[in-house]
Amino acid sequence: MTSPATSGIDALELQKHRPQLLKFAMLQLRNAAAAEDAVQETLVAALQASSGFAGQSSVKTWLVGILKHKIIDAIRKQSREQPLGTADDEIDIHDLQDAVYREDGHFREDPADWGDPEAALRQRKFFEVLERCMEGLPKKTARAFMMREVMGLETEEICKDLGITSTNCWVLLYRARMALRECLEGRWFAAGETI
Amino acid sequence: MKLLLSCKEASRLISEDFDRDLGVAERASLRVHLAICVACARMTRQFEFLRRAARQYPGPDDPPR
Repeated sequence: MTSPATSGIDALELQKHRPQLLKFAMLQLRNAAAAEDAVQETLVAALQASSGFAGQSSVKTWLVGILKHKIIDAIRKQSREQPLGTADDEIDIHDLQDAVYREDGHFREDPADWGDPEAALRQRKFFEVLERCMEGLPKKTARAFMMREVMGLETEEICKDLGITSTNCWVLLYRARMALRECLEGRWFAAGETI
Repeated sequence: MKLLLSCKEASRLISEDFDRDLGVAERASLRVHLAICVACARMTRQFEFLRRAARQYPGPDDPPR
């Protein structure tokens, strides 16, 4: 396959982003072969469309945009062929809550003050911590969270793709937010890396 | 939906508010709770931040070498 002569971006430039894209896909798909395929398709699609790259966003942002579509395709294919089990996500919602709340429904330990968290969004290192926190989530929980908050899909689409009820979907998202909140608090905001 | 929620009950509604339209009664109870509970108000802001962070993942480009 040859790239268009007018192409502003060459294959080498695209390849530089492969490790980051692979990590992104892996986080969501949790399957090396499927992640590899999604990234490969993304790079091929990018090469074919590179003359259309307007340069308004960074190459990485553009590639991630393409990859998101490839990941959604892969998720739909996966859930048709081998629906995710529930085993690793079967922590009872009450167990989760008991770890955080006392019997009377109050926090065991109040959430900490994160100060001005926006500064973190400018730091590459913060996103590495967020990535590790997402890696720590159970498979289905991570998938629901990423589909909702990273890809920005509507809850109904997510339920359909994961083959679960809306109520289960809300519980997964609740669980993900609680776990990520705690993880970021411990690994970033309490660690004093906010500067 | 009772008017006075515990933090535990409020936290689920806070999260679900990001994913579905809460009912009128749920919304009213949550509003009352958030007006008096610093911890839950803080958690709401943290969930909002989490959404902004996730939308920006994988974050800024590596600094030029």
